[in-house]
Amino acid sequence: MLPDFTKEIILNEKYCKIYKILRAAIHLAALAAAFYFSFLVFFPSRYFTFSFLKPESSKNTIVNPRNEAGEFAERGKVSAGKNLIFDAPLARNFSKAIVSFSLSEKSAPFDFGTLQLRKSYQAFFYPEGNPVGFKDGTLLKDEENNHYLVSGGTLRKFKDASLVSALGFPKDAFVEAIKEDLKYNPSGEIISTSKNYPDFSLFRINDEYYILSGGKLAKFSSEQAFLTNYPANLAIPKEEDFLNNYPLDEENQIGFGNGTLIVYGDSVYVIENKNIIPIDSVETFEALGYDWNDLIPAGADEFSLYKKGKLLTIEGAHPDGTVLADAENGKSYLVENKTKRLLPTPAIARSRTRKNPVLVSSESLAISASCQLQKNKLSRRTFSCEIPLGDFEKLKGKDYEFSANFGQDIKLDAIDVEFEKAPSFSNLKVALSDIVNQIKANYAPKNSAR
Amino acid sequence: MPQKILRDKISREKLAIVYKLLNDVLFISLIFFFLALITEGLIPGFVSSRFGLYKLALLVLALIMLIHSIGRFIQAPPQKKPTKKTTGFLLLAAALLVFNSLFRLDLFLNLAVLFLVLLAGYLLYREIFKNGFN
Repeated sequence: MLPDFTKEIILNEKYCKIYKILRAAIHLAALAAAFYFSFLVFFPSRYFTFSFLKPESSKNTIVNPRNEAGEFAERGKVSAGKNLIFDAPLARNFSKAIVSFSLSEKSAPFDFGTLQLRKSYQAFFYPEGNPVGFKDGTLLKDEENNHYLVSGGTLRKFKDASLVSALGFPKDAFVEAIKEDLKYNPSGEIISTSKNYPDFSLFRINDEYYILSGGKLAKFSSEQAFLTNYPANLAIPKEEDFLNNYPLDEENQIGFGNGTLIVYGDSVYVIENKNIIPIDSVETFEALGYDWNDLIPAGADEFSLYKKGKLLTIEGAHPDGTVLADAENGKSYLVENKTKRLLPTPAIARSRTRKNPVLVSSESLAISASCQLQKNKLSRRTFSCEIPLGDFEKLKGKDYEFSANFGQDIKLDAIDVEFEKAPSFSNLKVALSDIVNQIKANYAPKNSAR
Repeated sequence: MPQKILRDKISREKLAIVYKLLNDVLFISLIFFFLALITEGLIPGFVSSRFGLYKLALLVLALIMLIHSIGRFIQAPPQKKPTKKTTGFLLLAAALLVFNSLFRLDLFLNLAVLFLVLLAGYLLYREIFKNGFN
């Protein structure tokens, strides 16, 4: 018991007794509150919600409720036999998910509904697009010793090996390619003259890098920017007078490659086309599967080449240019326009990315859990079910993708998802370890990557 | 008339209980607030993302005002000045919290700011307690 801070206020015997009882009750209540808050800290729940009555509200944390075609479920309408798909992003593991659907007053209740769950990254759930060929500027050599330059998406063959030497393309820059590698780029015009360089030829002049495009030389903003796009030996060394041969493209400077992670000031950004997208936190960075070793420091000049894009939060998907690699089956994919495009061979994958890919698992597309939706006892217009998450713990990815099927036409007002952690010793250990790591991260030296 | 005096006495006794209980609640609230500040200092955002610290601060303020009002009504004797031990402990805690909040600054700048904050705190303390706490 705590000491009496108001000894000078003396009560008679009867009121003193009442005071002691009430004081003990307050102490017990404080102890209970302390235990309750500790429980919330060590075994937290996470809540996600979406209101179809206020679809633009910032309080909506469930991501993109849509049908199978990717169209937003307007006003919560779901057709019979069609799936309603939505995502809930979560960096940590939880024990179970409780999903509730609130029906609109205008909707008839349904008799039968199921809910399925998968876990990976949103980008890995994208539909598969057309496979991708080699990147422009890549130099290739086939089994018959034919030399190629990938230019404008096409495979342009050099007329003969002597032309390669005459133009100065470095022999060691040509990558060995088999027939299988070459079939994903259509054939283009043969390179037959040494008088002019073909588009997408790369040059190094006085430690600055250039690419020829549309008959103009566009400069890379820095050596680092070049190296995020191509290996150093791909550039033909030239003297300064070479710049007189082609006009300089003043308007377009080439920056970092798509998907590059840069650090500027205290913030980390990812490059997507002409945009630079800030990543909001360490948690988001790690939840997206990025590698701290891939960070490249950028100067103010390079930073100013880009337009600042929308903040990438934990709810976001990987931007265009991200390469996803499946460690199990060796397949890689390039994220582009809400599709994942297969990089069909390792040689093509190597030409498309110069940093560590984001690791994914094809297992995550196969593993799913499901439950039957039941009417809630307290509310006749709310249906819910519970899915255990034990099978998903080891899967890579931060996004839980739910797919609901209601068996008839219905109209929803809201979706609610609660992720719960079971009180157990192992979860307590994980929570304590998280707290220690957060404290360490707070006091890490400023110049460390994190 | 005697009934009114008796009624006043009983109500004063009840208010005295409320006064004493509010002091206990205030002390417990201050412990929670102090622990929350330390946790927030060690892991920024840990407490504030779950629970607004301002709510706890408002509760403490409300309790102090209520205690002061009831204390005047029941004519509670003036509070004693904090002991040197308590003052020392609070100063040390405040210094650590300020130092921690400026952890990323240059060490000497941090110490300079800390010195100025403690000096300002000491002068304020002296001003409040110079005539006793009424």
